[in-house]
Amino acid sequence: MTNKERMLQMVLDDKRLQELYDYDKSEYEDFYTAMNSSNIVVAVVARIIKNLNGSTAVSDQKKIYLTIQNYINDNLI
Amino acid sequence: MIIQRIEINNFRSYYGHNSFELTNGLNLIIGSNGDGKTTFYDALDWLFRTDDTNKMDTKYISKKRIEELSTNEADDVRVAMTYEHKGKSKILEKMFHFTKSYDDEVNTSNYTFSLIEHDGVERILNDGRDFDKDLPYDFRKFIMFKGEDDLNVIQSSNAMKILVDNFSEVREFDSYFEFTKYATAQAEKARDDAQRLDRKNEAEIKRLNQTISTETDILSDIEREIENKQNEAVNFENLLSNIKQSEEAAKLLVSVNGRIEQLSKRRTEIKGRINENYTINLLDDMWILLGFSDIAEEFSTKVSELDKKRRKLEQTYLFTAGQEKAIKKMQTDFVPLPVYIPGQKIMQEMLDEEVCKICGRPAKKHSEAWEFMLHRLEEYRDSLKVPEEEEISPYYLNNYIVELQKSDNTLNDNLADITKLRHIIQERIALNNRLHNDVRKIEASLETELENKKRILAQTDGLSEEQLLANFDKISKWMDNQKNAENRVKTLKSKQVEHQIILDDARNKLSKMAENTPAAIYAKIATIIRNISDAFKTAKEDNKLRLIHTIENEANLFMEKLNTNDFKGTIRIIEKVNGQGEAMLINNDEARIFNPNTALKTTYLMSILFAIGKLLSEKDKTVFPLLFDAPTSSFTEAKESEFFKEISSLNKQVIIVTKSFLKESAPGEVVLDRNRLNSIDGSIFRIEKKKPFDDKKLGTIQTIISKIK
Repeated sequence: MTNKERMLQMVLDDKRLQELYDYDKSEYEDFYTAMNSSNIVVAVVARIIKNLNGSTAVSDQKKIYLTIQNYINDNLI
Repeated sequence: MIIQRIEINNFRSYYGHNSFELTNGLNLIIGSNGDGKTTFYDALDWLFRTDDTNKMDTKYISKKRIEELSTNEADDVRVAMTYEHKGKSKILEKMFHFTKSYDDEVNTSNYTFSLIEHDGVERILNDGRDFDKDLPYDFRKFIMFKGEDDLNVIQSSNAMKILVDNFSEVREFDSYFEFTKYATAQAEKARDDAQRLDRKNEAEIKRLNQTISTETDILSDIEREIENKQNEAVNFENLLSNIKQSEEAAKLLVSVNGRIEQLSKRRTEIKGRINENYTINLLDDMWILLGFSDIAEEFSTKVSELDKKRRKLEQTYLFTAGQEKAIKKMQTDFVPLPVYIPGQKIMQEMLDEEVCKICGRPAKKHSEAWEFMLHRLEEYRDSLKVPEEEEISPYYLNNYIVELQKSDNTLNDNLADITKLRHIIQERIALNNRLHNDVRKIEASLETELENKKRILAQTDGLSEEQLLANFDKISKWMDNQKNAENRVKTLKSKQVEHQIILDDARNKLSKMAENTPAAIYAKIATIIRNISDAFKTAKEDNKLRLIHTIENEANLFMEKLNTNDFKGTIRIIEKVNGQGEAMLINNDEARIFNPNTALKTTYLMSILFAIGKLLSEKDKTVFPLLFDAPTSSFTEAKESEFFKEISSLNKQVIIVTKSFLKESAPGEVVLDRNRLNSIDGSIFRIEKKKPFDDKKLGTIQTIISKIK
């Protein structure tokens, strides 16, 4: 398991997030599944972790913010 | 990483070429004071410096070698380490050239720092700074330790961050958390911008936004105050932990001082009650008479004897005198002729006429006959006198003995007073003796307390009594301050919850208001991103806690091994608000053990280091050696042997420079205690000063190495 996958697991492990957005953490043990999840929160978390890549540059933050905003905008029912 | 060989050339006392062939296990380098133990550690410390500091410091050059060199002659200081890392053999080598000038100055030059890698037959020369790739700079503080004080790596300012950054289950959390904060702010701004278009609910939106803004500010203030108060609590805790070790001693000292004060007071009071003004009592209170009863008794006896004697003598005298009187009376009764014959007138005629008219013969004046007649006349005249009873004169003319007797009677009367006096004196002396006895007892107790005080002060790491007492005052004050800060944090946290509820409520209402408006999607996006941000924050904290628990668990396992047959407690690590870590030992009742003995502290700190070493190994898929300079100074011999035995069984490369296992064979002669060493598995080196040497001349000091096993 990579560092990003462990991070994904740890963030998705959040009880409140699980309750609010109704997902089962155990279904998302790899990035691929998480990225393609129909659960919007799982997919957004996966995108943040995958795309930010540990960067602290504001330009990267802006770019990823727009990505996830658009993703939620496009997929939120 | 396994260190295979360490070579030290002309580095301080390591004159010429010196080499240590090390094994993958315990390596003990044993030497006495000044034999080169710390120099060995310093040589490696110098070699590991990848920041170019102290590159060619002349203090590293062997004095002996300098003195030996002729003008313009040169040599090298060199420290090299051959090690195996991830299947590759490498040599890290640092050296510089030194030349002795004509004026005996030493010049340095040609500094080189290289990392030579052998890849099969190929020899690749790299910059020595590449060593950081094999042993990252931050990791070195977790593998090299100088003395027992250096073992508490957790408490250094950035230790926890290094540990989290390098060894936690998930790394680089910070940047992700920072991003989610940024994204949340952006999403909420987008929502607010979109909601401004909603004219219908403008006032309510404005109010809710106002509430959100106010509550955010309040929460921010609360958070800041919580941080400040937590820091305050930590600061007081730090201050307390610094003096906590002396708390018990200070408490004892205060208690001992209290007892000393009480005992001194009692002693003064009792001493005040002791009245021994016997000189004054002798005369003023007639105590001098105390010894008089015996004299009086003797006097009485003697007076009695004298009186008896007197009475006897008097009786005898009276008896004798009576007898004499009776005889005399009898004698008087037998006078043949009455004195009145012839009568007085005739007698006088005869005398005048100088003739005896009885016998008719002349009797001249003053003749015998005439004198006879005169005598008879006188006798007659005497007989005419009224006869007086003849009294017997007293035997004793003076009544001295009677006087003595009277005195004796007086004295006997006074003896009753003297007996009373005797009781008074006896009581006084008995009381004084009792008081003296009490004083003696108090003084014995005082002496014990003063000894206790000395012992307490001798065990307080050089703290004076004043400092210790000042600490005692500070402890209670600081504990109060710490408690106040902690209580304030509790209050603030509960306030924080209350305000968070208000904030969440305002946010929810705002989101709800956005429903069925163009701002709805922005509100939902903002909510999702905020919730994700919160999850990242929680995960970041969990990640840190998991690491801490992992280290704790591993450390406790090592502690089990290293501290056999002794009290272990449970190792606990906490992170303070300032980011520093703190390792502590917890009793089974969860109470912190504030003053573990140095050996116990060393053992649990070393257990933590072994635990970190294990994490390091797991992370880099390689093991790293641990290097300690004199880590067990506070251990007893038995504990030390047991400790080294356990370390040798850990299957980990540990290099320990120590003066353990040495014993004095003769005054000034130190030899290896081979019996104790036999139980240790691993390589053992003995380093010592080459003899003879001049104890005033550093240039004669040279460390020699012998491999013992």
